[in-house]
Amino acid sequence: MFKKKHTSATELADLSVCETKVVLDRKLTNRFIKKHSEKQKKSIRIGNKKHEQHHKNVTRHYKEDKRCFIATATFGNEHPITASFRLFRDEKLEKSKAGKIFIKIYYATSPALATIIDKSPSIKKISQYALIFIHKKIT
Amino acid sequence: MKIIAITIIFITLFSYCVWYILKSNKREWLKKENLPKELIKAKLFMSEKYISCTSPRRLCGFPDQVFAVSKDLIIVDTKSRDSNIVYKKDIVQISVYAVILRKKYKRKRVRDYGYIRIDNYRGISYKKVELLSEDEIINLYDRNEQLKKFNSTANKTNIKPLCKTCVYQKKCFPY
Repeated sequence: MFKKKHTSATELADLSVCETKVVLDRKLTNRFIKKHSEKQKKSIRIGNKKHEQHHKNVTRHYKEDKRCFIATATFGNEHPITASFRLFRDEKLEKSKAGKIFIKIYYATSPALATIIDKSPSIKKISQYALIFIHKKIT
Repeated sequence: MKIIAITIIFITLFSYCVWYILKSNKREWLKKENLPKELIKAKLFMSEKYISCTSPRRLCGFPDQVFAVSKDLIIVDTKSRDSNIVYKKDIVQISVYAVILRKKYKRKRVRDYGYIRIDNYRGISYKKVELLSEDEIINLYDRNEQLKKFNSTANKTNIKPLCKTCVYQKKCFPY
């Protein structure tokens, strides 16, 4: 059976400007290839670039990921040591004031460290030894 | 013991330096962005993500950014144009996003205003706009369907300067 397609926000926005243009667009050009002048095409290209750049900036400055960054970068997301660090965070650290402050500082600094660990295998090894040492101390 | 203490101090200092650089980058970006106050403390809910709904009508779209302030959602759409004017077209576009988000995330409340982010040679500015109601969007959708079925004659724009740059200006008259 024919499934009705969704109408895009842009299509309705165009309709609010000029109905005739939308109808002629549909009638004379392919549904996916809109007719644009060279000047319009150029500004669309610039607009797309700006969108992409802004998307990158926004996700970089806003994204808050509540994973155990350093352990995840060192051992992986599913590793038992990573899981035990998460457990330590939830059961011990989050119950005290000092622990909460430590978590705040950790989440502010660790994404950058995790990126460095991800890129360098030698730092990853050092991090592995350090984390195993800390893991032994806390368990 | 000494080595461990030195290592811990070194890691702390290094982390602080990285944290400081990242924070100053963010400060610089926020200054350049000229963000409205409520968006500085907001969380990013989604960015450049496809959303759609089937009720009240079959609608879809790619909102540029949606921010969350507690349980409320605020839509931001970027336009790169020379003038700092917000057109009705922009308001319709983010109003459609609002209709979809209201249906998709029923636990969240979509604010009845949004922001148009204009990026041009003058810099970046955010314009606060009131969104259209759901009924107005439904009426627009139904009008579009009517035109698709050729049940109605399409109106021409009232904004005459638009016709000068339109690629259909020669074909428009007899239509």
